[in-house]
Amino acid sequence: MCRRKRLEYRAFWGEIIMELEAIQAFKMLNNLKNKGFITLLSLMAEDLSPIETDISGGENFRLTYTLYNPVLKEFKEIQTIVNAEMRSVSTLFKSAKYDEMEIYDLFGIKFKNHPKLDRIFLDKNFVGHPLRNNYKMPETQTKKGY
Amino acid sequence: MREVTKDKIAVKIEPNHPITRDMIGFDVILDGEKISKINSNLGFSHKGIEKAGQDRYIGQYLPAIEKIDYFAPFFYSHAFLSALERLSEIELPLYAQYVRVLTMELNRITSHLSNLGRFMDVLNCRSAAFHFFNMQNEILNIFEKISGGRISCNYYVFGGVKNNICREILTEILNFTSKFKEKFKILQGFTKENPVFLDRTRNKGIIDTQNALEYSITGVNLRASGLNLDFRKEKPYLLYDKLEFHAPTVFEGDCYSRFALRLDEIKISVELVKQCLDWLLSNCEEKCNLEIKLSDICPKAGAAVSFTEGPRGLIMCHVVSDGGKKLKRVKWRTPSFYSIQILEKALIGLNLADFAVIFDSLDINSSEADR
Repeated sequence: MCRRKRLEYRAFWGEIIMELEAIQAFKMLNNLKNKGFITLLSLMAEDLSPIETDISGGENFRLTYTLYNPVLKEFKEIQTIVNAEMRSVSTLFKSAKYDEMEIYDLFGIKFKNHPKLDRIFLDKNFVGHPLRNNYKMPETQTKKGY
Repeated sequence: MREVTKDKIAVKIEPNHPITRDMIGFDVILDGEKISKINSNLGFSHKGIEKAGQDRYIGQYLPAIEKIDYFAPFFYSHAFLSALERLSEIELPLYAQYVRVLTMELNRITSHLSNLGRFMDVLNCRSAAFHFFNMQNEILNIFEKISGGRISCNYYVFGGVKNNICREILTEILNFTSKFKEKFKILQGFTKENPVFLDRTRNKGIIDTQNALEYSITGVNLRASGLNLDFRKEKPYLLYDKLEFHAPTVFEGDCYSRFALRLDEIKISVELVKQCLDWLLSNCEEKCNLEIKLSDICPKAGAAVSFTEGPRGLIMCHVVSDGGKKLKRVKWRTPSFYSIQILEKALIGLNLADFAVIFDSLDINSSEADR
C-alpha cells in the first residue's frame, strides 16, 4: 500500500492517534467498543491522491474514526488507509449508518455489509463523486424528473 | 413503500409541510393511527459547503460557513477559526476571547428562544410565541449594532474579532440582562405552568442514556437523558475554564425535560454574559488592531480538530492544510445530522400527532444536517 506525501498529524487535544491497516483497524474498533468506547463522534474521509493526475479513482483514501468513552472521559482517534473499500462499522456504532452513506455519496468508498448503501445528499442520477481529487466540475448537471 | 398492505397507509411529509418548516422530508408508514416505520429524505438544502472549502481561499470561505446553520452563525465561524488558529499556533488576545464568549452566549439565547417560540406556534399558543420572538428580536438588534448583520454577522476574523464593542452597546446589553428576570417569569408561565404544554410533552419520545450515546447525541438532548457532558467543561476552549457556571442535567429523557433544560440554559447563558460584561466594561478602551488581509491567511501544514459546544450539540471541524492559501480538506460534524437518526427510532409506536412535538424537542435544523 503506497503512502504518498503524508501530512504531520497534530494531537492538539491530547488524543491518542493510531495508524493501522484496514483489517486490523476493524478489529481494534471492535475491541475498543467492548472496552466502553461506545460513541463514534465523527467519521472523516480524505483523498490522498495528488490533484494534478487524472488517474481514475485515486484509490488512496484515509479514514479517521473519532471515538469517545463516556465513563473514562477519554478520546481516541484511529486512522486507516484504504483502497475505496472498507468493512462497515454500522453494526458496532449505530450512528455510523448515515456517516458511511455520506462518505459513499461524496467519495465513492464502498462499505461492505452496510444495511442500505445509497446516495444521501445528492440525486440518485448524479454522475461522479464530488470530493474526489480527480472529479471535474461539469458546466451543468441538471436534475430531471420533477 | 412495499410494506403497505390493507391495514397500513403510507404518508409523505415533504418539505412544504408546515410541521417540518425547513427543507426535510419523511416517508411514514402508519398502522392505524400509530407510526410503524419512518424514513427520512435528506439533501433538499445541500450546499456543498465542504467542497467550497477546498475550492476557495480561506478569506472567501468565511462568510459561507455561517450559512450552515442560520440560527447559530457565531458558533460555526468560531469552530472553523479556532481549528485554523490551533494549526498556526496563534493565541487570541484576552479582549477578543471575552468578546467571543459574550457574542456566542447571546447567540445561544437566540437559538433556544427561536426553538421554543416555534414550538409554541405548533401548539397554537400564538401570543406566547410572540413573547419569545420579541425577546429574540432584542438580541438580534444588538447583533446588528455590533456587526451590521442580524442573522449572518461575519464578525470573527483570523486571530480575533473585527472591531471593538463601544460602551453604549455594552450598557445596552447590561440593560437587557438586568430586565431579564421579570421577562423570564413570563416565559416560565407559558411553558412550565401551562397545562396544554405539559399535556403534550410529558412522557413522550423517551430516549435513554445508552441509546443517546450509541446514536452520538450530544448537547442539551444528551443532558436531558441523564449524562452530564458539556464540552465547555470537558474540553475547555476560550475562557470557559475560568468562568463559573454549571450546566444542569435531568434523568427523564422525555420531550418536557428537553424543553425545560433549554429554558434553564438561557438562564446560565445570561449569567455568563454578566461575567463577561464585568471585565469588558472596565477594559473598554483596549484595542485589538488587526492588520491581517483576508487573502493573506496561510496556515501551517498539518491537520487540526476543534470542539465547540453549539446550541444543538457538539460541533467539530477537521481542517487539513498543506501550507497553501487553499485548504486540502474541511470536514464538519453537525449535531442535527445525528438527531435525525434517533428521531427515526424514537417515533416508532407513537401517534402521528406527536410527530411535531418530538421533531421540535430534538431541535433539528435541516439546513445544518444537509451542510
